[in-house]
Amino acid sequence: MTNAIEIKRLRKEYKGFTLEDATFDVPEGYIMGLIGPNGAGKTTIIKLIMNLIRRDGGEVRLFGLDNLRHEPEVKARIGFVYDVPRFHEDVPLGVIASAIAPFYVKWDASLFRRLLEEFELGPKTMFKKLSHGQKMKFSLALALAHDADLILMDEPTAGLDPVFRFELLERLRSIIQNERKTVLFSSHITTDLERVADHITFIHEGRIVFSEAKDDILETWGVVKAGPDVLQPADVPESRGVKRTDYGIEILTSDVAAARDALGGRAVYDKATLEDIMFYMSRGNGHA
Amino acid sequence: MLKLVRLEFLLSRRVLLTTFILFSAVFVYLACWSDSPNQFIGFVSLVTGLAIPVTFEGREDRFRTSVLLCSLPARRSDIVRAKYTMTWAVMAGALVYALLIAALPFSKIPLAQVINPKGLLLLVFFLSFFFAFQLPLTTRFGFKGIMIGLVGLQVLGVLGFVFVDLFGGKRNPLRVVFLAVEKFFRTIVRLEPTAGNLLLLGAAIVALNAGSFLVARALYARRDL
Repeated sequence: MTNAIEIKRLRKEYKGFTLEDATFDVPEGYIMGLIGPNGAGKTTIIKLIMNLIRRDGGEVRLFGLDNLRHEPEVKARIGFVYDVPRFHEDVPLGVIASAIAPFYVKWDASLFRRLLEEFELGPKTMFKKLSHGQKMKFSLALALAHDADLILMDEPTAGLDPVFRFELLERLRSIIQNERKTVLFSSHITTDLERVADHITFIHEGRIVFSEAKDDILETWGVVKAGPDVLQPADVPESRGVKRTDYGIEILTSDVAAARDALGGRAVYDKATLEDIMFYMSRGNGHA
Repeated sequence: MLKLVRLEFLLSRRVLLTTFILFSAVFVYLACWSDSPNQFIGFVSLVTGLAIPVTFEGREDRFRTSVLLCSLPARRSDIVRAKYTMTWAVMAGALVYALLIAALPFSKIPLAQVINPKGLLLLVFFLSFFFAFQLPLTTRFGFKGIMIGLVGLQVLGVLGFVFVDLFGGKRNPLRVVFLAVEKFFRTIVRLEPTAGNLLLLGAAIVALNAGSFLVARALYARRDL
């Protein structure tokens, strides 16, 4: 399996935040969801991939090429959707597109027009007249119109209405099903990723906690629940986070089968959702 | 690089038109008001050399479109090269336009004293001088760059007063610098238009632009977006 993205020991330091040696791969033809609470480092990783910020260490390879040494070549194969689309406000959409089109050899003007029609956007409309959702649609139309091999999206569903969120996710799924494209999609809305992602990378406080196939995560991770004095976190194999309530204790484990073997009927076992994992590891006294 | 110039042009067409209208008013006023070739050269180069970079780079800052530019398949050095090319193209257009207005019947400007090798080189030199300081700052910091430039001048002024207070007028170390700069400009304006001097002036223009470009390129490469 070839990788569309290979990230090794990627490092970026800010005052009060450090992305520490992030390492993960995104296989070609898959959707990778990058999850984590706000401020975890998702945008930093995407900006480093796009060389929008300077890295302090590590390596990013896209389609086997270094993203700095081969910057124009790799960027020509990326469709980038930023969390807040930025274009010249006083310029019509058609003019923005015609200014951007020559940068991409595979730009398909008829596909772009079709997408604009589908998204109910007029080429003569000024960018400033668009709502946030419409701006996102325009940004997505630009990203898709040049037949990009890799779609990079930073929080694309944040602030969108449920209908367009659903449409966007369906479109991402159809891109992957019909063609050999790769998507890296950051979000803190975990249900979106549960719906479409094949792999999940979880980042917390600048550190990659795990990067695994989504089905494996949902299969193996679980929440162990028991009465107040029945269990301690140390009793649960592969314990990753704890929440204490008035009624008992809830412990997140990355191996629910092992927990069941070890504890038997002393506890009840639920499958963990991505939201559970994010919550327990970031708020529930997580310990990786 | 041409694609980037085209992009800058397409996305700034509207502001180009506005600038053209504003410059028309300014240049017509200047042509009616002044009969000094030096005033014409100084004013046109000051207005054009400061207003054009600020107008274009200010838009990028205002709309925060650096992210768009830097996510395109291009190197940052090419982006800066395109900014310089585009800005110079517009400034050259503005200079030609100013000269055309100065040639109109109502103009008091003695055009023959401007349209000659020395006059034109002086115009381009002063234009480069203002532009060379402004564009790297604006490229790197946007509107803040303009403020940095202005505040820098203010600080220099305050330092001047402090030094006068401390050392008196004549022994003021800043005075030496100011006098040297003034002398430099006077020498350039009074330069004999010999082939050697004109060549030197041309070399100074190239050096100013090259230096400015290299600084802007280095600053832009370090910019985190």
